[in-house]
Amino acid sequence: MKKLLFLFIFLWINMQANIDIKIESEVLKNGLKVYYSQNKTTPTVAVAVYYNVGSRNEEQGKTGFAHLFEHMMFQGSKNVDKGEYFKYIENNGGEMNGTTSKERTNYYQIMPSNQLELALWLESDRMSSLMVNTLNFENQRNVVKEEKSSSYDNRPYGMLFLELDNLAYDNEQYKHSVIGSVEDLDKATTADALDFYKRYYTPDNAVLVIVGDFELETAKGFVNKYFDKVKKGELARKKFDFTDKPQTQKRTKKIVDKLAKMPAIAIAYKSPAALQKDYYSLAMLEEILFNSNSSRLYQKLVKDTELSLNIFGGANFQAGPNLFYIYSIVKKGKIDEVKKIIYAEIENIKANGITEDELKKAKNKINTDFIFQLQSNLKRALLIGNYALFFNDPSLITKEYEYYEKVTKEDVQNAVKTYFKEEFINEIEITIQ
Amino acid sequence: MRIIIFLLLIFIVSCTTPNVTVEKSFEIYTKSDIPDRDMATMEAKRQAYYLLSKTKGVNNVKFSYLKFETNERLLFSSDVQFDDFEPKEVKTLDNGGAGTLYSVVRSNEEYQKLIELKAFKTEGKGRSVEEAFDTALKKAIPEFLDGNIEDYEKIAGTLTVISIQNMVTTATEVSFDIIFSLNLTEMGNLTPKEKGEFYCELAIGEIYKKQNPAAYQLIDKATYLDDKIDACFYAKGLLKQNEGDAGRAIYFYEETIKLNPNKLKYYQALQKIYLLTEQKMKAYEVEANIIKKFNPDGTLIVRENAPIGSKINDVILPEIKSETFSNGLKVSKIIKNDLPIFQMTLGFNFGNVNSPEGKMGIVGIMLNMLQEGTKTKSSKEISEYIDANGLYYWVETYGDFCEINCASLTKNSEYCINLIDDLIKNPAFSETEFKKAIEMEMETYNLKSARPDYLASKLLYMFIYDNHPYKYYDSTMKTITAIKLPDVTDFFKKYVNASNGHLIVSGNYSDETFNKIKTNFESWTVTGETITENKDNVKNANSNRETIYLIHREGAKATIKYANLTIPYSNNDFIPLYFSNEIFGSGASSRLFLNLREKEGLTYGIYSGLSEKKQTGLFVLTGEVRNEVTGKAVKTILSEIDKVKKDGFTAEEIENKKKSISGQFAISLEKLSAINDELLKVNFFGMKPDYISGFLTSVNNLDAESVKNAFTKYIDSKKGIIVVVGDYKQILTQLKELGEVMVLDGETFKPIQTK
Repeated sequence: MKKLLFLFIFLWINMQANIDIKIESEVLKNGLKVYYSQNKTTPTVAVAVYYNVGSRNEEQGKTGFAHLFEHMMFQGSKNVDKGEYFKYIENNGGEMNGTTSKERTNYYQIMPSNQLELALWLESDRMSSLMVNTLNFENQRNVVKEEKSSSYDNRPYGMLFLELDNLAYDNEQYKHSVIGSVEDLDKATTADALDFYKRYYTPDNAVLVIVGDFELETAKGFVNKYFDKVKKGELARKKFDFTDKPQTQKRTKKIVDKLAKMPAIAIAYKSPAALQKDYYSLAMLEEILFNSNSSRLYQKLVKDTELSLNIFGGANFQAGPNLFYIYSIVKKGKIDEVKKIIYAEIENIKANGITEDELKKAKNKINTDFIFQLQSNLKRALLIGNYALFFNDPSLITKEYEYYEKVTKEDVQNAVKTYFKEEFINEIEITIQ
Repeated sequence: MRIIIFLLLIFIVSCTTPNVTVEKSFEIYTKSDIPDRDMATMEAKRQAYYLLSKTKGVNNVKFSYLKFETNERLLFSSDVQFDDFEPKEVKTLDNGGAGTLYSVVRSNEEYQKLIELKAFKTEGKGRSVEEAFDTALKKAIPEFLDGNIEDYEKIAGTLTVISIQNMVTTATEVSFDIIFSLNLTEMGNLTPKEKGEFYCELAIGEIYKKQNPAAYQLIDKATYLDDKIDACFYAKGLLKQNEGDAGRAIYFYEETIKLNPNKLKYYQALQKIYLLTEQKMKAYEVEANIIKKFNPDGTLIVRENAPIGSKINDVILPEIKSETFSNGLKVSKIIKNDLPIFQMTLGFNFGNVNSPEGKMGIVGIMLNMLQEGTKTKSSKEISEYIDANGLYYWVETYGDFCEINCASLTKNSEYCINLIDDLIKNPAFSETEFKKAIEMEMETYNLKSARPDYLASKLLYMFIYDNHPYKYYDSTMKTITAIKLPDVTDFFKKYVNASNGHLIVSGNYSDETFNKIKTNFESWTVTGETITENKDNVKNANSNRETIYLIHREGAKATIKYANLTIPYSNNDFIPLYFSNEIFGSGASSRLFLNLREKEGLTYGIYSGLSEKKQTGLFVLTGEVRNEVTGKAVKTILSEIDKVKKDGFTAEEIENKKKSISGQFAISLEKLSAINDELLKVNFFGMKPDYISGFLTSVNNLDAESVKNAFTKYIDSKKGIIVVVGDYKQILTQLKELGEVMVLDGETFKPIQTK
């Protein structure tokens, strides 16, 4: 009984768009869930593997491990030497990368479609036989420290994002940054890395997605050939409590950023996870407040008063405790004015709600985004990976739009009232020297 | 083959005699009560195994011993485990040893006839081993002289096994010597190297017993036969290690691995001595090799080959149709119907290079202002219009051209058409919006200029392009403030017209939609000037490095920029040059990335690329490195460039890159915006119309020679301009090793006096 699950999905995004995305799936004996979706528009194929491990699965004192491990996954496996992964992909015209978030780690590649077998062979090889050794580990630890230095410590506003999470989350698993602390990275050992690999990088803790120009039976043949033999995980995965405490008091912090030329303000509110109704209500709010040139705060802060250089934010697609962020880089000495305008607008929405036009505009924008992103087979694969990993429902690639469609003016107003209370504010001011 | 048969014969004779196999004799031996039984047993087995391995019956033998030795956790394939205990010398046979000999010999009546080993039964205890064997041999030789060669072989073989089993090296050696020197058997016909290997294995046994002089003698004997025997180098390494000369020991172990890279114990010895001498990274390298090459039991990992893909599927270019409207506007139509989406790109044949003197940045400001108001709509109304209809609207400014874009769902395409039509025909250019645009430009500049990589690029362009307009990487505070509203409106009137434009309409749209476009844009009257061809006037460029520029930023991490002047995008050499850079520095599988990041760990990212310019472009390399390795990184970069000049590219690199570029090309066709951009360049840079459709053919016609030639013709490590932004206090000394260095202040760009 190899195929425990067999789905057949045939969906329409909407009548006007007239797009069908068919997804077939199977579960291998070792627990790996595989999703196939054909799209033969261009001769390309995307392969994505999502592992159900992110920085939230790290024990305290071992932060940064999930991300460090993402680097390790390119350091060679039984049949693939260090550095060869890049070569195999790039020599065949593909593109690849891996990313780590709080909740998951993904690896993906887009290839010319004649190289599907190669991509699957490569992913299966590192899923089954990664070369974890001290040399690679030391080397990648240094690379990660470089990355932290380049992307955070040595970049204007780099630390802002990390500090904000630290301030806003109460749950330790979500509080710490994905990049982790240098002290923790220095403490990590090769044995830790091997243990992490055996615990989390197992087929029963992953999903595999294939999207693009391929024949279904051929792709299944390759999957069976290479992934059937990957052994199921034997070590138990540690269970963490991911619930975040409700906030009772406004939190603020001021940071001096030596590299920044202009001050900045960052605000975060605890917000609902994806697929919860209010996640979508707040997504509409994001559009209405700052996600386009006609949005309220963009018009007020950037266009009318010219107090800010920009304003942006929103919530991540997260399955666990979430945050809704607002960021703005502001002119010198104008932080207080900007804060006042942001909070006043939030209060305004609590009191008066939004207009029907604003809601319609937001939905139009989201609808366009939904369809444009389908140009890329890789983007399709990444969407399916996310939906499948967290919600076991790849059909959300077409269905999630319905969640947005259902949002009403009142939903947005109520969500703002519920989640944007004064005592729920987390606020960081970046000042300059 | 004959050797194998003979050796097998020896063991068949001596090992499979009823009731007393080699295993059995071991069993007897190990059950005896000699105090250093374990050591002796292991050593005996080690050597017996070695001999057996020569028969290629190795697997069966090994498995039987493994089974036999399960509880002792011995792995015969890895005799390095002998390092873990201190062996003791066995000089005399005790009860156990004598018993073993007797058991073996007693069972074969033939032997008893030939040699008087019966004495061992009663006299073995306390008797010197050498003496016993001497007696045995003396007895054997006369028999041989009687002409019974077969029996002699049996004796010699048996003696070998017995002596090995009992760790009597001298006797083993003697028996080998007899076999070799008398050339009696196939064993005697072993090659000098094979004979040498036997001696070296014996030498290793001596070393474990701390009999260094004996080991040296055996090594000499072997070296005389062949001086490239891995076991001898290994033995020499062990000897040097015993003598406390770690440096020489490492040398010998490394040489051993070069001679035979497939033996686990050699790597383990090297790893161990690196750890003992606290050379951690070296030890980790060896460990990495061990994990990569060997299974836990010491056998070699058999690697699978990567699957070879089928032939790449044909890349089918979307259909492109061209026409020119009656007002001179050139138009390209691209049909791509897979999704209900639409994009129009209105490109103009001018860019930053066309800015009036001292007014760099004017093109961007002018384009940004288009959406800030028309005669009928305010800035806010335009934003509302864009957002309400779900449009994407954006502008781009490059060195040689610029573009206005609008994309939407097909059902909203009309809104895109009307938007662009209104923006280019009726811009308001209000004073209020202009002030805001300038203000925004200045703030954006402030923000960008904080980044070391931005600063490095800006100065690099300044140094290398000297007096050419390309010298402005971007606008500066000075040029932004110099721009006034009349400059913008004049610029607009002068250049934004149909004769300088090229419209691309792409995606899924109907004839009716295109007709609407035609109606709207054909009515666009031509005013102002038509831009004629820009000649390549990069003549005063600074193509020779006289100094390295070090831009001081207190406490900053170093950013390195390196550049050479190259060629225009339309030059015939561009494709081979592009191809060479793809191998050299583009992406994570490039030489640069693999060497500087993956191998040396000097940087998080390092890449090189070619600017695609209408006139002479640049090869630019960028890397961010730790201050303490900046000098090393620059040196490595220069030597990577020189390596191309010296060795060129390999055929494998060329073939791989051909596949790679073909694949990239297919992927690039997924998005409308990428197709539109490429088409604009082809049109504005005066390239052949079939450039895109013929691109893959041009790439596939390249060979290693043409690619190397293109690289070396334009990329010269001695000429390239080098700019480093970082903290001079930490970097200066390192850079001085590479040549003259000029240190400039990161704010004022004035020279800093350094000591």
